[in-house]
Amino acid sequence: MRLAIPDKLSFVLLAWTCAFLLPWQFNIPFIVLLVLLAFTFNPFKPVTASARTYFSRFTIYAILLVFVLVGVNGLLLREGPVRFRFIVLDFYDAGLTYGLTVSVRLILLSLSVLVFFASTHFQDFAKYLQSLGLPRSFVSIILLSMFFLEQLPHRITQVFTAQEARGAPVRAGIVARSRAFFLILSPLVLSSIVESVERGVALELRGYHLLRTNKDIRQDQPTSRVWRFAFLTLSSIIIILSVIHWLSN
Amino acid sequence: MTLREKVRTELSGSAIPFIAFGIALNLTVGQITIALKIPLYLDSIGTILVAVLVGPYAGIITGSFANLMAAAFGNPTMMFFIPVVIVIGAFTGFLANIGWFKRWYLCVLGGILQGILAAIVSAPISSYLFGGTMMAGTDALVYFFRAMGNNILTSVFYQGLTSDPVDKTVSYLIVFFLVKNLPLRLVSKFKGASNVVS
Amino acid sequence: MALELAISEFSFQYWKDSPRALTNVSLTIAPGSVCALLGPTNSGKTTLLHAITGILGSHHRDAIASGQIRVGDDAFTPLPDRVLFPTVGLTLQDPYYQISGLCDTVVEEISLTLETLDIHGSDIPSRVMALLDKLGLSHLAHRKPSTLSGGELQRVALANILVAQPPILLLDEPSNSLDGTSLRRFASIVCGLKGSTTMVVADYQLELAILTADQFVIMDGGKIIFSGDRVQFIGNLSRFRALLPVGLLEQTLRSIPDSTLRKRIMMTIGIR
Ligand SMILES: Nc1ncnc2c1ncn2[C@@H]1O[C@H](COP(=O)(O)OP(=O)(O)OP(=O)(O)O)[C@@H](O)[C@H]1O
Ligand SMILES: [Mg+2]
Repeated sequence: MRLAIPDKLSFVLLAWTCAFLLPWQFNIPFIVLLVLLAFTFNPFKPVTASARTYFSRFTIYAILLVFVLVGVNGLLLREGPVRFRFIVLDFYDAGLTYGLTVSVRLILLSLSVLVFFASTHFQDFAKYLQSLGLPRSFVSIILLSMFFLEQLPHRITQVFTAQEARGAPVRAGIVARSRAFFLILSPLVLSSIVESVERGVALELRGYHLLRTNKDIRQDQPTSRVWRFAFLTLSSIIIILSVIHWLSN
Repeated sequence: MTLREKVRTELSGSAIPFIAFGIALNLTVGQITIALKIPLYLDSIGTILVAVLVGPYAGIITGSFANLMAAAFGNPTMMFFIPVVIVIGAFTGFLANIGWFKRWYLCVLGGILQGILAAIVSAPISSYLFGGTMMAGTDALVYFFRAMGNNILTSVFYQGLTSDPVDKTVSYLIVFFLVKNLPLRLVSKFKGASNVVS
Repeated sequence: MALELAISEFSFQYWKDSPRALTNVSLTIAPGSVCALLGPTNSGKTTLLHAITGILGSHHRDAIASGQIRVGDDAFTPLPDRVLFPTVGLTLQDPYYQISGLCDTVVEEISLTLETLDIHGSDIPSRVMALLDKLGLSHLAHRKPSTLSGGELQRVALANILVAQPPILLLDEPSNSLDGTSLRRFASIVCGLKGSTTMVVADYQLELAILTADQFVIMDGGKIIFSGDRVQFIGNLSRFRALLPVGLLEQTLRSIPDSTLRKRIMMTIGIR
């Protein structure tokens, strides 16, 4: 079974609609569903090895987030009854609810984005945007920045070692370290600007015209529109129900 | 000129690879600040550099694409701060266009203004979406302001005022000196060359 | 179809106060022939090539230029202000930059040129493969361009341009990243293009020029100080000892002890 990028995007939209409009009790199952999908359902599985590591990092972040948000707000938002007491600390009801609301909403919003990007090659996403009419130069920017992203960490390490060898005070006081920061950044920026200029010339020399759009990029396979229709309908229903609920209060 | 034409003039020549470099720089500068234990993010340096040497639209593109890519590569929450980086790109490009990157003291002033602006734009996002908890050391300050009786939005804004102007001023000064050290021959290849040399 | 390239009384200054990069350069290159543009560093070779492509005119709007550059029947006074690709193709001094960084394979990289020219069609992959075959690059077709070696990059950069079949082809120091064997292979590629393409090879070394050129031009300080055919060039070589690595060539030739072998080598590279 395949889900095309627009299907997945409509799914993210559904997740965001729920995150903003539904109470946290409804959204916890949605989060669980997202996690399950990311591990078992092919279209949502991470496509690269590094994408898999995003999940473990995010899980730690999410767990800490819930604890901090709920704990801190329970202490600071002193409204409603005291829900429980931990030694001398009083945790208030309103604060606990607020903490849960915010953390569940934030986790659902971010997790849906994470699942989308982890399960989509970024290049494919860029090409999808291009097929929507995004100028080709924008897509080139994305692709070229991925090229630079591959090279930069390597070059930073190189400059770093070179500066360390020349005695840049990597392990000294803050002023010296700021100077070292500048000493590392400066050659890096200089060489990258030279490279940018040369690459710009090279692209132009190949007749690369700017801001032209390529709408005729073929989508690899026509997929059925059933899924995006379903997700979008569901989102609309949730929005309508929320509006009715809000009006009747 | 229509918006499309303005963007088109900015995106000619070397701008495309340079914007790409700016994006990559935003995303990797953390590697240096962490290694050197510098207590600032400085993660708008690429945006600022591009906004100064090319222009505001290029700066906006750099910032928003950088955050989009950060989101795509494992930090989904960066996505919510795209409005902030748009403001940074636009405001820096504006300041550069009126010549504020020709003098270091104007950069200091500009950096402070930029920091205040960034704090204003990011406060509603940090307070509504994050409840003021960014899971960083600076959260302690937010909690302190809240314990003093301020609401979350105000506390987040106060916290932003203590860190953003410093971060942006240092970033502005770094970009000022970086650009100053560039050979004229290179600078002259960019649309914004007149922003930095007379 | 090869075009004539004619430059007359061309002078160029990057900006008002800078010294002249080119002074009164005049040069005519017959359709389908190879011209070697020789000279030490900073003699203005790259500037001249960039002027012909149009990149100089489109990038340096406040430069000072005079004279004329004529490409086939199109005369530009003083120089083209837009990039003339695919009429004029140029490979850069550093081939690393000519790899776009946008593509995952060499085939895609080369097809990108056609794509930017809005040339589409089902025969593109076979056209690209045929070109790769001709350049001896077939085995690299599916490699990632950024992982190639210098000599390989040089030929992929050439393929990037050649795929558009430009009537005029400019090569900026192509022998930089080539060693003995790959240099000779590159030379035979250049010779194979004679007739169908007018070529200018800029270089500060002599080997590739001697192996390929019909016409020799020597520049120094932005001026042409010699122009002539192969016989005249070889006859005057010793005059340029200070500018070009002439000694190296003579040394190599003289160090061949066997006189018949020496003659045969001199024959093959065209020195009588
Ligand atoms: N962008 C530029 N701005 C100002 N001056 C330039 C620029 N590019 C080149 N020059 C100057 O023009 C002159 C000719 O340089 P050019 O690069 O054309 O020489 P070259 O023969 O190609 O040298 P090389 O063998 O080192 O490549 C030099 O004095 C150089 O300093
Ligand atoms: Mg040169």
